[in-house]
Parts: sequence; structure tokens; C-alpha cells
Amino acid sequence: MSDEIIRAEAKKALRDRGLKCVIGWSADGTPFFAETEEDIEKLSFNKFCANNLVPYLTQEIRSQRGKTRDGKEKIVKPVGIVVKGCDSKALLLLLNENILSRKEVFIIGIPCTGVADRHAGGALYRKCIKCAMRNPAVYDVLASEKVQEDTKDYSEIEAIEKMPAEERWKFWKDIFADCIRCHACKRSCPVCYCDECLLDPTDIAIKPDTTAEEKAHRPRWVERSVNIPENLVYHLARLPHLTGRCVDCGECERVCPQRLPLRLLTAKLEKDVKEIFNYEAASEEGQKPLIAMSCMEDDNGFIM
Amino acid sequence: MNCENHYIPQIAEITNIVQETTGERAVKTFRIVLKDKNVQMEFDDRRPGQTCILSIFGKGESMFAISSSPTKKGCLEFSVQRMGRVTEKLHELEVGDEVGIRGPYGNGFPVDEWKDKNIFFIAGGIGMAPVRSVMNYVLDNGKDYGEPHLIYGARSSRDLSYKAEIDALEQEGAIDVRRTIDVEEPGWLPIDNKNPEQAKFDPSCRKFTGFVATTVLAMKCSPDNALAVICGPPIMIKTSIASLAKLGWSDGQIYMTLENKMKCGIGKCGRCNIGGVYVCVDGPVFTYAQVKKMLNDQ
Amino acid sequence: MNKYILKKEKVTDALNTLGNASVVYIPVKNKRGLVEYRELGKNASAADVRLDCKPDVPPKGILFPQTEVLFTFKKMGGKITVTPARPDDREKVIFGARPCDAIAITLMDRVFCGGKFTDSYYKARREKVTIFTIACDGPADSKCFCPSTGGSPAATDGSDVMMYDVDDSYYAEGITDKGRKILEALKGHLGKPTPEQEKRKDEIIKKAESAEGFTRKITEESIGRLDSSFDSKYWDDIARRCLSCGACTYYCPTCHCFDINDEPGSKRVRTWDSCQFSNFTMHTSAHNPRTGKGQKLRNRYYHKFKYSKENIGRYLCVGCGRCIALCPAGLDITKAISEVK
Repeated sequence: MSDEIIRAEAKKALRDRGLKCVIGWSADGTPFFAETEEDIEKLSFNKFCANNLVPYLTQEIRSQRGKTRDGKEKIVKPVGIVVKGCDSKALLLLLNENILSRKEVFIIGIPCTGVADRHAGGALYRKCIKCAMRNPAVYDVLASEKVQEDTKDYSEIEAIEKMPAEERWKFWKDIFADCIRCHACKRSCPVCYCDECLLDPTDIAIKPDTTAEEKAHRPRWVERSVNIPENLVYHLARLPHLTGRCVDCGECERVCPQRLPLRLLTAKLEKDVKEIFNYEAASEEGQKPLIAMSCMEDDNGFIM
Repeated sequence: MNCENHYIPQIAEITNIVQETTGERAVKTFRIVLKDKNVQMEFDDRRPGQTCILSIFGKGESMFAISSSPTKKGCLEFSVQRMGRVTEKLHELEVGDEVGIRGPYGNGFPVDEWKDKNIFFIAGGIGMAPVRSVMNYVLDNGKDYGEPHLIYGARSSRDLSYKAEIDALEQEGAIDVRRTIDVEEPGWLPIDNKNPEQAKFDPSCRKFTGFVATTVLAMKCSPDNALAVICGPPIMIKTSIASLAKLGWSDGQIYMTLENKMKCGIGKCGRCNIGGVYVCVDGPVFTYAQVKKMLNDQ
Repeated sequence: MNKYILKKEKVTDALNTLGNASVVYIPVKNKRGLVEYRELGKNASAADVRLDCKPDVPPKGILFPQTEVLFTFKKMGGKITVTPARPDDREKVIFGARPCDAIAITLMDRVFCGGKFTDSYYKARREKVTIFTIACDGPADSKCFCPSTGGSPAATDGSDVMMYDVDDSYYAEGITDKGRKILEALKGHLGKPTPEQEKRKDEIIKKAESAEGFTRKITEESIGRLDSSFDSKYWDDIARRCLSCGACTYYCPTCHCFDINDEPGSKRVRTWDSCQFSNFTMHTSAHNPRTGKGQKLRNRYYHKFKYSKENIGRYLCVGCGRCIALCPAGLDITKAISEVK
């Protein structure tokens, strides 16, 4: 039923809005870029559609931007996307941060009751049990009826918070010892959209006119060596850049080949942001980013 | 361990530095001498066109063509353009400072197969560095080869390297030298880039304004019993090869030295390949016929 | 005599005996559910060994560590001294490899020890490694496709000792001199195979060679079509969903690309690298011969199935399927090569 709606709406928008493509999933759950009505017939939604497609949306829109030879702004064709609840929160965040503009996207929302690993049979991902964002937060059309939201469970986070410092340090060291710095977490993260990441030594943006000085004096915040200290820097420096931005969509944990429980970090971040700043990322359209909201009443006790 | 460790650089000392050009992307020629005389002798026993990886300890390594001919024994010269992390530091070093070096790597030019041939050395910008090694080799073994010619171009006269050396060769009449620049300067005869074949000039004229490719056409470089060695920016190589084709040259007569991002230099790190060919060990010297095949066989 | 029986209940004892003379690596399920190779006595005990499944992580890192110091250097008064890292030439045993991973090691041997130059760090380790392989009788999981790559579930290439699961025991056969020697040393734990066990072992080999049960395949015909598919639009199309992470390359048992950097602490370090990362082939001039994801993906598949065949006479892919299992974007090398036009 929802497949029919997704396809009908996608075809309509492709025609009426001149979309470049519609990003959705194939029946086997893999991301799919539908450019024609024939392609759109392949779009589907089922519980194996786990990928958050928003990074592809950013890719498809950004690749169109730029200037023509005459110096005029290139025309950006809007791009369609099918989003679950968690995906749509990430998309809303990008809209709020003005990375994507609302007129550039056509959003088909699909309320979701949980997704599972297509390689591992049917069990839902941990993040989907007790999910509080099943229904899309932003959309042009909905492909099915809204579903009941749950309340998020932070008991795992609370258990770690209660650990004495020594034990907690060992807990995290254990986890970061297993990181192989493949960067799957960063690459699949919808809000990590920097062209050049200062924590990724493989990803330096240079142009033909970048000077020798710039290349020579660019600091290497993270070395290529893979060991606990470097891995800690990578993860614990990436996190602050997600403060008030991460929507805990869980892609980082899903894609990690070493199965690091990265949502323990992202959920903790989300909890702290709520408790300290009374702020939830992507809770409404037009919301100001957290880092743009500093004020005199903020606790400055950590400075002195 | 009973096999050689190819990742360990030998230590060498900088004995001379020549500032070839100035500016943001300045070029300096460094003369270095291996501290271990036996190792220096091993390096002396090489083919022109081979490469080395220089280490600036703490910054990293980069691969460079050796720009001195193996006939110049007891030292190695590298002409290095200031481009990034390693080269910026290298440009700060002084005579007496030490660097690391490993090599020689690559196949080099098959100079033994070139007996009695007229050789056209066609170079653009920093591409002159590897060409210089084989050019000087041919000149030092002059009786084995036919007529040598040099066509060397750069953006402006200030960007041409090896001024003193090439002036001297020209004075001696050791090689027919033609220099070209992109933007006109007084005394540099303009060649119409659109109609180079129509160019008429006194054979004694040796300074032109025009692209290297157009100068090649204007000079009407003859393919008879000849071969060409080309190195420079990609567009210059492409257009120069097109010019030679117009003059009747075949792909097998044209030698190029390619470059790619390199790390290990010994065919292990998997980075510098074009199809199944590793530029570091299978190259960097290829004929244009081979390059076409490599691109086709990918 | 070269054929033995090791009762499953005696595996722990055998491992501990091996551990007296060598560093022993065994597949162990870690706390995150991943079966990886760990060092006996250091972070694994013999009782934890998992011989019943294809390890999630290949033994590549034992011979070619992800991070390796090549040398340290010192600059004093303008003079430089270089101190090469001591070669890791301890005796090692890899116990519980699968045939795909053992074949992969022979391919790594050709890369690192073949050609004009030998990688001395790899060689020093390799000479001291003895490999015990457990044969499969068919696909270990749905991602496997070793028969398509010239391998087989019971292939013995690269193995020093081949083991077959004959119900309550392992049938163990020394394939190489090294293998025969190490089995001699384990004699105290070994028995003689019964005719029943011989028969069971032959059944396993027969079933393995029949190559039945593999749902993923790449035909020779598809691989042959790669010659004419270099310029196909297909590569850009499928690479659109590639995220350019390094998961496929890091878990691949034959991916060997690496980076070399000088790092704080006055050391030069070699680390795994991935041809899928953005700047793998980027020149300092900002020219990048393989800048698009399609070009990078195509290069990886061609390296595995075309260039390696041209250079070393064998596909570099061993059909272990780990890249398929792990790709966050659902890319499948068997599908891609079968479908490209």
C-alpha cells in the first residue's frame, strides 16, 4: 500500500517539480536513485530499508551547485527523497542549518515501526526498540498512516553515568581499542557534511591554487596510526561537533563493521543537551542551531 | 633478516643549491652526495630517467626524477618545485643539511636502443628536470647519437630553469636550443599559435613566444631517424604529441615520463597504477604507444 | 605418517602446547559478537577458540599489521641517524583459518615478496608463520563465492596443516614440510584416523569440490566482459551510493594498499589505506586521476579481477564475501561484475 503511494507521489513530483531524481530504497533495502518513471517503479519500503538516505540527498544537491563558465549560479534541480522518522529529523536539521533549502527537496515521509539488518534475518536494530521518532518530522506527503510513538530509553546511558571514573575509562578504552578508523560512521552520518574533515587525515581538500604553506602547515589533528589515543581523538573530537546537531538516527552504530556501540555516545550527547540546554535537535522547522544560542545565563563555571 | 629493507633511506648531504626560479612555486636544484661512498657509487650506476624518493625526516617522503645525468658521478641532482609539505621544508634546507634518499627506482630511458638517432628533447616547466638527465647523458656520449635538439618552454622567461647551463650548451653548439614562453617579452619572436606551420624565421632565432607544441610545428621537427623525449604539464604533452603526429611521427618514437602520487616506490602500496601497470616500477618512462595501450587496456 | 586425528576435546591442550613454542592466533568471538583473531595467552584463552565458523575478520593483520613503525630517526646537530624497527620474527601459528583466507595469504606473499622488491617486514613475519586451516564443505555463509575466484571450500593452497571436521574430531593432515613438522611436535595430543573418519573426510572434500550451495557466483564470461566495460556508465551508477568509507578494503583479506607518514615521536609509520578514500591518488597539484567514486570502485574491482590476473596470474579476490556483508550501502561485487555492460 505504502509502496503504491511512494511511487505515485514520486512520479508526480518528478513530472511537476522537475526533480533530478528520487532517492529511495529498492525492495532489498539498498539505496536507489530513481531518475525515470520506470526507475520509480522499483522504489519500495520494507523493514530492511535501514539506510538513512540523507547523505545522498546532500550529495545530489551539492553536486549540482556551483557557477557556470559565465559566472552565473548553476540551476539546482530539486531532489526527492523517501525518509523514515529518524531520517527526516536529520533532514530537518540540515534545513534548519541552511545546508539544504526547502525548495530543493521533495520529501516523501514514511512512518516506520523499525528496521532490521538485511543480512541477519528479522530482528530489529536496538535503536528501533522504544523509538520516539517513528513519524516523519518534515514531509511534503506521507506514504502511510502515522504510528504510535514510544518513549526513548536512556537506562543504558544512565548505567554508564553511574560507573566510577576508573571503570568508565576502561569501558571506553575497550571500545576505542577496537576502532579501525574506516570512517564508515562519519561517512554515513547525515550531519557530518564537511567537505574536509579535520579529523580525517585522508580527506584534505586541496585546489590547484592551494599554496605550499597551506599544505605544509595544516595541522594533523589525527595521525593515520590506529591506536587508542588516536581513536579517542577521532571519536571524542567528532562528538562536540555533533552537539545539538546529532539526532541519534543510529546510522553510525549500524554501519560500524567493528560493531562499536556508538549510540552510547550519541544518545548520551542528546541526553546532556536536553538536560543542560533544554534543547532537542530538529524539534521544529526554523529552529535555531544550539551553538548559535549562547547567552549570558549559560553556566560558565567550567572556565575558572 | 636476510633481505634488504627497501624502506630505510640512505643519508645524504646537500652540497649545492641553485635557485632556478623564484615566486610561489619556486624551483631549486639540490645537489646531494651520499654519505657512504659505496652507496654513492651504486647510485652512479644507474640509467638516466630513474627516480629517487627523498626523505625530509619529520615531514615525509616524495619521489623526484633525478635531474643529473649518470655521467655526472659522485652526486645526484634534483630540481624541486615548492608545492607542499615535504618540498616546502626541503626549500628551507641549506648546504650541509642532511636528507634521506632511497632508490634509484623505475626503468629509466632505454638509451642503449637510441644509437645514432636524432633526439628532440621537448620540455615544459618543471618537466625539464627529468629531460635534463637524459639530455646531458646523450650529450656526454655524443658520438653514440645523432643530432640533439632542445625545445624548452615555460610561462615566462623567469620560469625557465638551468639558464647558465643551457646558455653554455648553446654557446658551445653542443645542442640546437630553442626556448619558448607563453606571454610575449621583448626579443622573443611571436609565433602565431593558430598557424605555426606558416611561421617564417631566421634559423639563428632561438627565442619564441608561443606554446611548446606550436614551436614544435614551426620548427618542423623531422621524424626521420629520430625520437622525442617529452615531459611537462599534461596539456603541453598532449598538444606536443599532436604536433609531432602532424609532422609524421609515430607513437613508438615518442618517449614520455609519467608521474603519479607515490608512497612506497617499489610497487607494493597499490597507489600509482594505470590499469595493471605501476608507474613506480614499470615506468616512469613509457613510449606514447605504450601509454595508449595502457589506457586502452584498463 | 602424516594424517592424524585431534579430538575436539583435546583442542585446548593442543593449543596450549603450540603456545609453548609459538605465538598462537585463534579465532575468538569478542564481546561485540565479532569473530576475530586474538593472541592466545594475551587476550584469549584456548577454550574460547571458535573453529565452527568463518571468522568475521581475516588474519591479514597478523602478517600485515594495520599500523607498523618502519623506523625511528634522530636528528642531532644536523646529523641524522635512522634506526630500523626490529623485525617481528617470532614463531607464529594461525590456528583456525579458512581456505579462502589461506589462499589470500599466498596472494599477499606474491604482492609483498614478488616482483623486483621484497618487503622485508612482511617477509620476516611470513617465514615464521604456520597455518592450520579448517576446510569448509560448502559456503560458510550466503556471502561466500570462493569457487568463482578459482578457490574451493577445501582448497589447501597456503595451508601448512589442513583440518576437516569429522564430527567429534578434526582430521589433520600436514600439507607442507612445516605442517608435517608441527604435527610431529603435537603427537602427544593426536591419534590415528579410523576408516570411518577417512571416509568422512573424503565426503567433505567431495562435497566441497562439487561447489554446491553457493548462491553467489561470478562467471568467467562476466569477468571476461570487464575488458570492454571500462568506460561503462554502470560504474558511476552503482558508486552513487558508495559512502567512500574503508570497510571493504580493511576487511578484505587481500587488500594491501598502504600509506606511509612521518608521525610525532620521530617515527615513520606504515598504515593501511583504502583506494576508496577521497585523496588516495590525489597529487599535490590537486590533480586527481581517480576523483569520482565510480572510478575508484571500478579500479578496486578491476584490480581484483583483471589487473591481478595480468600481473600475477590469479584473481586477487578469494570470494570470502566480507565486503558484501559489511558494505553500508549494499554494494555487492558479485552483482556488479555480473551485471556491468
